[in-house]
Amino acid sequence: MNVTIILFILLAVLLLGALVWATRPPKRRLVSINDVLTALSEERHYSRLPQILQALRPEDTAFLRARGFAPLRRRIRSERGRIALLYLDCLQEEYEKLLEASRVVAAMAPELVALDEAERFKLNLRFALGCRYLRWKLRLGLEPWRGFGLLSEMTSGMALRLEVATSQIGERAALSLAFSSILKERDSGTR
Amino acid sequence: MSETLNLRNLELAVTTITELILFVYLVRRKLYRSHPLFSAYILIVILQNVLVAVTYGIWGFQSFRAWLIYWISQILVETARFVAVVEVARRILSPFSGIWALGRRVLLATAGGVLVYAALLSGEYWYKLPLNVDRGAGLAVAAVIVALLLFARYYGLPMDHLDRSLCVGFCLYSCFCVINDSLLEKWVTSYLNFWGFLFVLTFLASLFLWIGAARAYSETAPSRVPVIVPKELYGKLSSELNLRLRLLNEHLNQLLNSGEQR
Repeated sequence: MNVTIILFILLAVLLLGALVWATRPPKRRLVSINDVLTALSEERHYSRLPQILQALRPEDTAFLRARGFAPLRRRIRSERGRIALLYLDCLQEEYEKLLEASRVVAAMAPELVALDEAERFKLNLRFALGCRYLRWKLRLGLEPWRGFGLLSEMTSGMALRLEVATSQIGERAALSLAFSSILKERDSGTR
Repeated sequence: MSETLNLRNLELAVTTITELILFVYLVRRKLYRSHPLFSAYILIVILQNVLVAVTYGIWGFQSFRAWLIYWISQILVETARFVAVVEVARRILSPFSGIWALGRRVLLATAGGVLVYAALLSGEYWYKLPLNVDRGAGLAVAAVIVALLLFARYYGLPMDHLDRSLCVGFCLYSCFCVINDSLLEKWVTSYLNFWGFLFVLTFLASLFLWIGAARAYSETAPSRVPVIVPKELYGKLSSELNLRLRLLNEHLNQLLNSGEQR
């Protein structure tokens, strides 16, 4: 069997796999703009980032080893790692809510910017991979400082993009309101 | 030879009867109004079966004329299939103008890219040309359907059971066509009868899927209502979202700045 035939068959099988994946029932929770607004008004987790980062620094618990409490230090560090993992879950949840919000906005928007959508999709992939990488790093007890910084940056980027999209929609809505009021005034003037 | 012809006739009869059942459902449920191009596709497939049966009866199944008529009619069927898929895509995406504007470009690029890929990989023998066209079109249809489903999933777009079934049926049939055509290219002579059998089998599977969806379809079922927000509410909502996001951003900026100051 030659390579061409194998490639065609492989592609068809891949497409069948993608079909099965794409037809699975979605796991979405947020469906309406009200849900999105509620989600956005919930308490943010970013404010705990400095404490989390501080707690994960080896210097923060170095004095315990110097004073001969090495087992205690290990236990504290493992517990702090577990807390950081929980924090990461919250961060991811928050990111997904933002993403969901941006999808709701996209469904309501009269036009989308292809590059922005593609970038958001890319960011989403990066965030998912970054989260997984960071989780493994934390489980292995490695220094997660740079990873956390990167994830926060991504979440900030997502919020910025969302703001641009919503402001565009807001401008359009305001324009159409102004336009309809002008039309009303004109109609009443001509009567 | 006559045994092969009888088997062909039997396959044609079974598929035509199943297609007719589907067509009756499409007419009885008045689905030709909401899915005119899909209904036209089924009608074209039925007409192709009649034409092929008549051709085989007159010139025999292994004659050049039968071969030519089959593949010319197949081009028409492929085109109708692609147009029917576009109709399904439009039904799913068009209520959301922004997503539809982006989606149709993505789907067109997907179809074009896959067709070019298939053309580049295809053999250069003239007698393989129809087979390559069939395979390329099948691959393009499958890729477009998968891209459409992924797109709809990503944006959480609503999709009724009938449209989902049409997508699954088209994609399954197209993927098996690609596998079938690729295997036929390798074992042209020994595989020919088996190829015909598999071809009918996969198409029948899709037909049964569509018949099930058409049967289950009822006019009283809640119709697809796109999310329409009044303009006033829209403006209010967007400013509310802006405010929340601005606060969120400020919060993040403070955190990032404090991180740098360390």
